[in-house]
Amino acid sequence: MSMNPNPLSRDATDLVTNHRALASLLSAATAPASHRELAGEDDVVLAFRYAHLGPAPRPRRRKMSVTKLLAAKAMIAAVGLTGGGVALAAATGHMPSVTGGNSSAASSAAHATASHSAGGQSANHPGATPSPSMRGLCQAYTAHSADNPGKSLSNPAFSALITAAGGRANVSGYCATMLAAKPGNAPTAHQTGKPSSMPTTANTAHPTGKPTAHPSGKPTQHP
Amino acid sequence: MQAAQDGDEAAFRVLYRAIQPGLIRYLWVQVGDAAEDVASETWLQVAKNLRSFRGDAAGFRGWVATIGRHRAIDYVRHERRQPTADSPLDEAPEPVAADDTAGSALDALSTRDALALIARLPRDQGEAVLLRAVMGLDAKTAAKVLGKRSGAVRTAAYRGLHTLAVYLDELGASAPPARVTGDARVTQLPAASLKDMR
Repeated sequence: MSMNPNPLSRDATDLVTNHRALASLLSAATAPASHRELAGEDDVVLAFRYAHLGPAPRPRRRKMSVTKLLAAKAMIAAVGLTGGGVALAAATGHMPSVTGGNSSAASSAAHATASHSAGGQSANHPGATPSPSMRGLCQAYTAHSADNPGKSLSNPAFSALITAAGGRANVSGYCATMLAAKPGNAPTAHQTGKPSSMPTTANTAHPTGKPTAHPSGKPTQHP
Repeated sequence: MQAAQDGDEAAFRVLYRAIQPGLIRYLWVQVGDAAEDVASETWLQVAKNLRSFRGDAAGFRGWVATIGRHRAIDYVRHERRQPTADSPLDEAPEPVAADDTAGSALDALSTRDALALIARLPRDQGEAVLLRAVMGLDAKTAAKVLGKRSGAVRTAAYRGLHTLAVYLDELGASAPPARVTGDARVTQLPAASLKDMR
């Protein structure tokens, strides 16, 4: 472990050097890290990556709020399905399988996404994800906690969820409410019920395409 | 430091590996086995606010320690609100099982044993020892973390080390050195040395 060679003041250093057991105790306390102590590194780096690309999601989230008419549901569903933690491009890439055979919904959703990304955000930028959808996080949490009972919330990826729920203890209830509240957005409902309405929404909204009408269509606002 | 702030993951990993061991040990003394979770929360906040940090590597270490300390305090407050949970601060973590230390020489102390002994110190002394000797903060930085004057932190660290030496002497005198009794701290410092340090 790297640290200041000797952060202690001189009298404290004298104390330590003159007391063998105390010196041993301090060297035990500063022994190299165990594997377990560093076990969270990848989670932390994930959070770092997520946070570092923080400014990117903001315009996209704003866009999502103002382009509800434009395949926003498809985007939300796609993000929700992946827990918000995967690149949107990858998520839309999954759309064909998610929506079954309805490839027009998938392609129009992907098209819409691509056109939104045109302003400079590369659609396949791994970190250019929207801020985590609470619904997506709930789905991820529910799935994760089934596999890792009691451990899920230790993952920093869920901290936003904990904040939104108002504490760890509330997450389960929060998610139960959220997942029950809008069945129309649930992936299963989407899979079976939505595809028929999706293409018309996306296709009628998009082909008109009027870039001037798109609040998000100003490339200069993209980072 | 700058590279990490610019988003360089490798640089961030270097910082993490340098600081996390000391951080998690410091937190372990504050919150016991919740240290891993509290450390995760700390790093999450660090990652989130990294670009707003201004300073050098030493300052960064102190900044992480400050965030960790606040997260630990939050954790303890939260635990206190739970009627059934014990407060780790009131009840310092038990030293590891006697088998791990019994019969072994003092200089074969494990990291956990060492921390358990530090956890027996009065809180201000323990924190000062941990921040200075375990997290490697200089007196000024540690003082900033604790919201005290440098001199006060130096004194607290010195007194803490002195108390530890007395604990260790007692352990050495009584074989096997299984456990430190909780009330040992009360009788530790000779009055003269206390006076010297004030």
